[in-house]
Amino acid sequence: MTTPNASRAARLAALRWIAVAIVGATVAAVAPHVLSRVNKAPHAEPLSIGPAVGMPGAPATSTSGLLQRIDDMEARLRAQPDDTGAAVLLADALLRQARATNDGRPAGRASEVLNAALKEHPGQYDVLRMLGAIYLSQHRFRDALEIARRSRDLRPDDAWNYGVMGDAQIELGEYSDAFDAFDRMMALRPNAGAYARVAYARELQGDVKGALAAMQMAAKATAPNDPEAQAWYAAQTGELSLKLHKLDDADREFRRAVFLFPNYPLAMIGQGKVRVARGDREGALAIYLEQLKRTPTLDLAARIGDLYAARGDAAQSKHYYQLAEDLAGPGMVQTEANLALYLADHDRKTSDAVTIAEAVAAKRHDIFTEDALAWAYYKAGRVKDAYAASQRALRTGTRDEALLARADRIRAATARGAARDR
Amino acid sequence: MKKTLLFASVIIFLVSFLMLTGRASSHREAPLISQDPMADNTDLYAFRSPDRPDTVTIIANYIPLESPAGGPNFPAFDDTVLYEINIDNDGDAREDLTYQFRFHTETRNPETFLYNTGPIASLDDPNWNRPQTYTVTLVQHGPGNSERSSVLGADLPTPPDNIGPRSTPNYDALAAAAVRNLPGGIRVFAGQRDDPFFVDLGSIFDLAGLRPFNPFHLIPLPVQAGRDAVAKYNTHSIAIQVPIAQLVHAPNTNIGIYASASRQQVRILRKDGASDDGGPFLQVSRLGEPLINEVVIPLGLKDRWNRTDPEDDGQFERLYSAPEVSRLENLLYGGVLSPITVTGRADLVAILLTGVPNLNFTGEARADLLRLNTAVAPTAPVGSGNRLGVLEADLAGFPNGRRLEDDIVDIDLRAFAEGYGSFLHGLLGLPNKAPNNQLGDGVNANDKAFLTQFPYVAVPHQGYEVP
Repeated sequence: MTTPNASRAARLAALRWIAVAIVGATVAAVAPHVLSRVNKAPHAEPLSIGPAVGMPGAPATSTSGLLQRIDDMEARLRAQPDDTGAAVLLADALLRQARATNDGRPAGRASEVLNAALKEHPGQYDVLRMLGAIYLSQHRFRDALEIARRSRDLRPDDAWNYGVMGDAQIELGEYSDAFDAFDRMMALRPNAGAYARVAYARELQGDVKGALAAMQMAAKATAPNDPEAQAWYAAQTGELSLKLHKLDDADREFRRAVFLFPNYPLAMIGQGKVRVARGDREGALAIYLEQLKRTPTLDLAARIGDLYAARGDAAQSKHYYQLAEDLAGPGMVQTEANLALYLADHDRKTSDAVTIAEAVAAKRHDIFTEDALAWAYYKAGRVKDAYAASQRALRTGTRDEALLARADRIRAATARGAARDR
Repeated sequence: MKKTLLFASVIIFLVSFLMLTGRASSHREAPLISQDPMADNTDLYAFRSPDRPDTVTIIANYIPLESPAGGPNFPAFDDTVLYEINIDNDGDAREDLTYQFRFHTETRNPETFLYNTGPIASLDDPNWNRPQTYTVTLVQHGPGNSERSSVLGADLPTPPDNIGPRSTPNYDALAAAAVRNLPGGIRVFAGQRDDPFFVDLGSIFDLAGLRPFNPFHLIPLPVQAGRDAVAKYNTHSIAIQVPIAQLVHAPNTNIGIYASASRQQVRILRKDGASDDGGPFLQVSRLGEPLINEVVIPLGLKDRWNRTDPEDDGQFERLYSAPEVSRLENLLYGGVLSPITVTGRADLVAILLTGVPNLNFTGEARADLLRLNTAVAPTAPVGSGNRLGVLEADLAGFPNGRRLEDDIVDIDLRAFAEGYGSFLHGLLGLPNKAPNNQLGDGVNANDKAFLTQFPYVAVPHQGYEVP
């Protein structure tokens, strides 16, 4: 039901925003130079560039609007390589593009652009602030945390920095610090972003109902003229509904997301998951295959492989399992833990799975990494190690069903081992 | 060096005015608010109602940047935001009365994501899939921190957005049906309206240009007529009309008003079974005098300023007494304007933070409040007052309250440039520098005529007509 009218409105909204963005960029382009001369304070960070800049939810977006913005800002940067405002706006658009296409590569370009800008203008607040978010999307969590702390020191009142810090700490498994950061963010500025983070923190601790309530608040608090953000919150609401086995609600929220932002990957995959949960494997397969053409990822290919396997189609499942592995290559942002879990779960290269998971676990201790490590150990026959990692994966009280099922298997194996030892 | 400084000032000014991008006097302001339009105050108006002169009408606008054709997600008030209009009636800069507005959206058919599935002929038409109702609560603040709340009205209807001749035929009548009378002679309306603010942003963005003064700018251009950049945009208004007797603290006739939006804080950890989604509300946006957030408060302070209550505004006084805008006016139009005093501007502190003696002075407490002397009778029907208000001896206009027709941009440009006009010069001895007293952006009126009856704000532009 995307009427020509609706897409026209979206285009117009995007155009208006581009105009705003260009003004912002123009100002931003001049400001740092002028001010660096005028204001020689050691922490010379005198001025922010403007509201349209550096916000993950910045302007209203649509697929075409995003591409247009990226083109405009790239052109601007070619004309004026020194334009930090354009760099920030470009990074923002690339970040959204990465999210809307499930493809991490745009974020690489964004970090390149921002780092170049930082070289010219070290300490330029908006660049720094944006870079933290970009590092997050590239899964460079330590770097993101470090940048966010620097950024926080410049502007302790800016809630954004606590969001980036908390996001990084969540991924690193530093939960207590992460929750403190989210609380600080909420204390400074309750808004959609803060509500969404509370939702995630609740979910991690097993409070899925509470998570859903907070995510619904986030969805309500999202600007009506920002369809990408609206779609994101709808899809998250769908995921949480799915976890609560509210299939109709989940299906509706995923469809809402797709209505707002056609082919939104999270929501397309979500619709497939709902079909799987309803026993409609063929329906799910059709959706996944279609989506795979748009956003080829390990996760999708693995899901397709699973569905073919369930259907008894060994050749096809083998094909897609191989594809899943191939898609984990460089250039795509996947969590490595995902790959380890996938390999272990599908009994492929279990020793590789252990190596990968151990390498990841050396850097971060979030429950999903620990879970992947536990499962890799388990499949490699290292039950004691599996049990220890599995206990760490359970430490937040998560109710994630797949994770709990694996923990149960590991616990049972540990008990059997203990019985044998007696 | 001089040029560098000049450009620095231009940039600062432009950055301030960037916040105007949202096409009203306070739009897309704090970086953290820019993504939260539903909790973003854009303008506040307060005036004695010309057609019901024993009442005061207060209009608080929210949600910047409403494109009339902005579907499929048409804007509405946010059910999770606490909207408030606060009134200080005893001059201590603390609110004595608060009118609270909470909204509730019903989804009639969860299986469609469309705003409506057929023409909306009435406020309870089943074709309207997302009707929104609201509750008005009066909070009376007593000694200490005591409060008494009373619900003035519940389940009050709002009109739909103005979509087009198929979805919302007879829109004017549809919207008029949403005006409700509450006990005690109070009248309320909440819903989409034309954005009543008017300003030539296009020129102001271009190195702070004012088209009528183009030849006198440092970078001269031929004179042009001003162009209203806010024309054809909508906003959401909360309008309330209250008998004066309920607002004032006799014998004091002056009141100070500010509008705000607050969001609820929720905590991460929940006790088993107990909901903790009912945390305290934190003010995330406020508005008293127009344009303060844009031209007085620098970007780095905007978030803090928005969180601060007016009673604590003393900390911002220096920004009023040494205003950046005045400095900029000197720099950009120095060739033609009489030099403007840029420090010790007690006149601005008075007008914007305490009220003008013998007009709307509320007390020594510095606070960003829109101040209205309710003893001053209306001088004209809505829309017909002198656009320059008190500057041209129309005491019922800005800065004594604010009417829809008051030309805030021109008044501010002149006030900041010490061009107060002969009336205020004679009355209060305020400076009347020339030609500073002629400054203006050339946009003198709203693009749409106001209504002569409550809620006065013009009917919103229709999506079908205004892409």
